[in-house]
Amino acid sequence: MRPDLSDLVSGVQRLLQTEVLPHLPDGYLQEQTAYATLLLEYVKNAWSREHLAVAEEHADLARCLAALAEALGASAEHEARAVAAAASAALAAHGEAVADTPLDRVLAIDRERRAIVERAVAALDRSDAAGRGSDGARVAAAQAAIDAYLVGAAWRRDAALKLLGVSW
Amino acid sequence: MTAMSLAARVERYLSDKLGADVRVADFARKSGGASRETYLFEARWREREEDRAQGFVLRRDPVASLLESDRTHEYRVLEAAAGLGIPVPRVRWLELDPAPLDRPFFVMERIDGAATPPTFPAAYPEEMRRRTAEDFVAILARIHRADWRALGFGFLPDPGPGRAAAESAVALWRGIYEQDRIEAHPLLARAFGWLDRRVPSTDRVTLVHGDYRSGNYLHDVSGRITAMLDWEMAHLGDPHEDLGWATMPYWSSEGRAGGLEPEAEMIARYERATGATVDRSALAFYQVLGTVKMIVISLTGVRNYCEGRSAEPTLAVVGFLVGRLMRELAAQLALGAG
Repeated sequence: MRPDLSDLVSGVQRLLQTEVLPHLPDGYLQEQTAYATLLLEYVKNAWSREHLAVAEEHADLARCLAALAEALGASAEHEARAVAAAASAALAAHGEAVADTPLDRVLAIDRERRAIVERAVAALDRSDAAGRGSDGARVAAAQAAIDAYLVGAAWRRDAALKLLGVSW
Repeated sequence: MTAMSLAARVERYLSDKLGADVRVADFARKSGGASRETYLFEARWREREEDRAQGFVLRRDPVASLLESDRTHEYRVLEAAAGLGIPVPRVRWLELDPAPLDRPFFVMERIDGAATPPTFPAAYPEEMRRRTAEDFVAILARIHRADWRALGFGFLPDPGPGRAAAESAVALWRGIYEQDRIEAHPLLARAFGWLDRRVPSTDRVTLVHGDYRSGNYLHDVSGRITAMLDWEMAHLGDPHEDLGWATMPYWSSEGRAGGLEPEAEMIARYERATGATVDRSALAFYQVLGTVKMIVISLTGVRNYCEGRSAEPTLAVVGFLVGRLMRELAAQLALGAG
């Protein structure tokens, strides 16, 4: 359906660039308005593929939580077992397919899941500090799952920056 | 408040301070002040039958910013930094009463010179880059060699030798992260754990600029540095902190730290200038802390944007730059490298 989101955002950009920007009285406001049009450019470039990036993050987080549940479920450490239980519960609670779920709902679910990963990082740090003991292999597997997720997530965030087109 | 009405109030304030009828010209807000609103202007007045003109910089507390810092601290640091024998702006008035301009502020004299982006531009002439690189390290060496007690920096907390400097730096940025985050960032948790396990010890406590990098100095056309700016994060600590910040990947391009020269050359130049040996593991620690610090500063801006305290789109843009920082941090921690 036209106008689609790209049409709408492009229209607002044109309005700012041709009708607003030339009439602004000082450099600061001109610069801020130029940045605002840059953000709109990002929205224009990102909206049509945002669901792909969200789905990828959601799937990576699900893989990470599943690995944590498996690796830490039988840990000797109470907090590690609690993290494993939280990961299992989170996966069981939100099993709906991304395609059938509004993106803001998926984003909210993933914020909760990232908090569980962060809790796992802290638990593994404490386990490391205490000496891994019999948990050595479990900790290593959990750490590998977390690191794989962290690297993928960092690259995804950087890809969003490339869509914005800002660098120095 | 518009820029013009603010300029009129600055005129009134300076007229009172200088005891003359001050006129303000070319009053313009400058983008990019991470922690305070920055305005440049020229003041003109008559004094002892002579026309006077002086460029000034007004630094006013913001409604919201990338970084919450204390303007009294910055003012006192700049006052003391005047004794370092390096080019720094001369501070003139600190006003804590919000009545004159709605929020506290201070005024300092403007220094001529051109600013650079956070990485020295690759397109600038090689000779210019060389001179800037020389001055960049020479000024840093002077800061780190300074007798901070004699110069009046005694009001800054002294962490003392040992691990306290690094521990307090990590605690500071962890505290700001925990206070300002609006969502979990497991990579930062991982990085803080990495830092906790590698805290370096130092027997050398010096003045630390706290934001020593390309983008925070002015230079002339030949490349000579005419002013070192942005002292708001200055403190006493491990000098490796400034070196790690100045050489971290975020400010680098084409294999040059800060866009100036390869890291190894910058470090060698620093060692010659200070007579101190740079501990490579401490440097790596502070490079990681630097990336963490920049992410935390950026996330503070993101929070202010997302919670509606600021409408500045630059704060949202900074949020996107966190992506690049996260990727660099993952590489610094060697995640996924087996």
